[in-house]
Amino acid sequence: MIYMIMMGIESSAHTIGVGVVEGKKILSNKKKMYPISNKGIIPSKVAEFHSKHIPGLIKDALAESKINIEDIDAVAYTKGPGIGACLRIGQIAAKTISRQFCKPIFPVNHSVAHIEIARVMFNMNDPLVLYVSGGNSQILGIINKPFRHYHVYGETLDIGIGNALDNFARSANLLPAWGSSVAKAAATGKYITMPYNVKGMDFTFTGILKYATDLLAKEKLPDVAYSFQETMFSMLCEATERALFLLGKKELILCGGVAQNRRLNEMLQSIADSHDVKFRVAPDQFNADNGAMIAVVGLEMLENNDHYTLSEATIDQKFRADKFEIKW
Amino acid sequence: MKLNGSYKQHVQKYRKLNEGAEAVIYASSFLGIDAIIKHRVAKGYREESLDKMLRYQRTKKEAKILSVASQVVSAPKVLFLEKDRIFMQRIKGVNLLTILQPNGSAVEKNANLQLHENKNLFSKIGSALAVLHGSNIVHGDFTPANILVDKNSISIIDFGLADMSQMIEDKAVDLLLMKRAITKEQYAAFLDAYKNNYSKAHEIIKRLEKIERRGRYQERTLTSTNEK
Ligand SMILES: Nc1ncnc2c1ncn2[C@@H]1O[C@H](COP(=O)(O)OP(=O)(O)O)[C@@H](O)[C@H]1O
Ligand SMILES: Nc1ncnc2c1ncn2[C@@H]1O[C@H](COP(=O)(O)OP(=O)(O)O)[C@@H](O)[C@H]1O
Ligand SMILES: [Mg+2]
Ligand SMILES: [Mg+2]
Repeated sequence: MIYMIMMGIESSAHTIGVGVVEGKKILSNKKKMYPISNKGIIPSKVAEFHSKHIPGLIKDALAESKINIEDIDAVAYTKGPGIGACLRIGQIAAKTISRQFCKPIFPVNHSVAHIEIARVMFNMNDPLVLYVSGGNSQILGIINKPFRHYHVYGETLDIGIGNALDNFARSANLLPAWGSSVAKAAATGKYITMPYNVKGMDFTFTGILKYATDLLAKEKLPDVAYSFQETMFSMLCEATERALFLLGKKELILCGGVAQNRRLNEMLQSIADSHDVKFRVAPDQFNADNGAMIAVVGLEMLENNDHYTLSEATIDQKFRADKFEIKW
Repeated sequence: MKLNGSYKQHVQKYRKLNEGAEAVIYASSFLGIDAIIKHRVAKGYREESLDKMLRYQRTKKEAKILSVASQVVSAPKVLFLEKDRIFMQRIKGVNLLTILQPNGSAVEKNANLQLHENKNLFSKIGSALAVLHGSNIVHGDFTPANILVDKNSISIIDFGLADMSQMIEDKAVDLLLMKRAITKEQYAAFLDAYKNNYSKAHEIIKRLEKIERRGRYQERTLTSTNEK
């Protein structure tokens, strides 16, 4: 059996990544991340970082895959959502490869790519998805009308959970100002009650963020960090359990940057066990932004005989998951 | 209602009737009335003190709000309250979710309902929400799973996430939850009735549009860009 080979380029935010997949096999997944600082980050600086590193990453990804650029069948890139200046770098690289080597090009939705790499990896057909990243926190599932897509059943009504964690980390002077640092600080904490806000399958995080940030002046950091994280995760879990229940799904995927959190994994595993649901999370490298996941979706589009001209290879900063047609 | 001795002497026939996302429902009878017991079971995945607090608070709040709600719309009357259990009047009917989706997702499968009864049904739901909002009760989980249908009448259940609130935002979220779970046609009938029965509907609908825009255009940001 001969499988198609797809290169995927991801550049939507901090990370510039290039991955190559052949059928279900991941041949390589190379990336570099713009260093997270506690100060301001300027999009143009990140874009500069991406354009500096992309040629080397493409070379490394091909070398690790033991192929030449001519051997790929097509190239995919992130269309959005993301930061315009950053997205443009991946788009330009993909268009250049497409033009120069006559390879078909595929614009991919970043959020759907986070989901699809896990779905393909674990052979799932109809999963419920909890997608938790910096800017987004959504509960999704596939529906076929008006076109086949991931429908958003519930989501944050204000900010993404990752941004809430990063914001808190900054206020607490944790370095790097990232969810993983909050997790570390939380390790020895004791529980303090915090605002909890779930409505159906939706939730909000700004209320608890403000509460937790203010509490830093009065209570010990580990206790505040633990309670902040634990309460937000409990909100996500409650909404997810409600969705599992309402939709009767028997498969559950956790994905996106915050999916790297062990505590969140443990909590969802416990819910899945109690409802006889198959729960899977991809390895960390695929939950952080990466090129391989973009390639996986590109391949689905190629296998479905999708076609995009170079002028259709656009970017869209606000490209929602539910606007992207899935092709399998 | 004052009772002598333990409530247990007045309760007969525990039989598991249903299981929701939060609670296990038992069929029972209470002083001769058809009743159910809604028991909020412990959730092992979360911190124990948070778990207990949520279950006890919600049970108490649900009972309190039910006692107001059941006077203005068709909703179960509370018979007895105990820690994480409510004894309430049993309502006839099946929940709307099972009507909409015998085996599929709500958004796809609700061709099951004939359009004419459909319209009628969803206007009743719209009027009921209008009445609740008019009394400043927000439901918090206003989806087909929490509406019981019996022939031509509907009842509202599951006030576990409900609140007494005058906030436009809270009311708009009730509309949003229902909107996501039903078809455009059903929502149109629902909304029409809501507008006709609630004087402040206009304001709430405007807020709903704002919430939807917020979600639709949610942008990914570089973590620190907002702090320059
Ligand atoms: N171990 C962890 N625990 C919790 N959050 C984490 C962990 N590792 C990374 N994150 C969070 O993941 C987010 C980044 O995920 P990502 O999917 O790249 O988001 P986006 O694509 O929206 O920028 C950050 O907000 C970061 O704090
Ligand atoms: N008063 C009642 N009369 C009849 N059936 C009920 C009543 N309350 C709940 N049920 C049944 O039990 C199910 C779950 O109850 P609900 O209050 O919605 O719990 P949960 O919060 O777990 O969703 C309902 O969908 C309904 O079928
Ligand atoms: Mg991401
Ligand atoms: Mg319910």
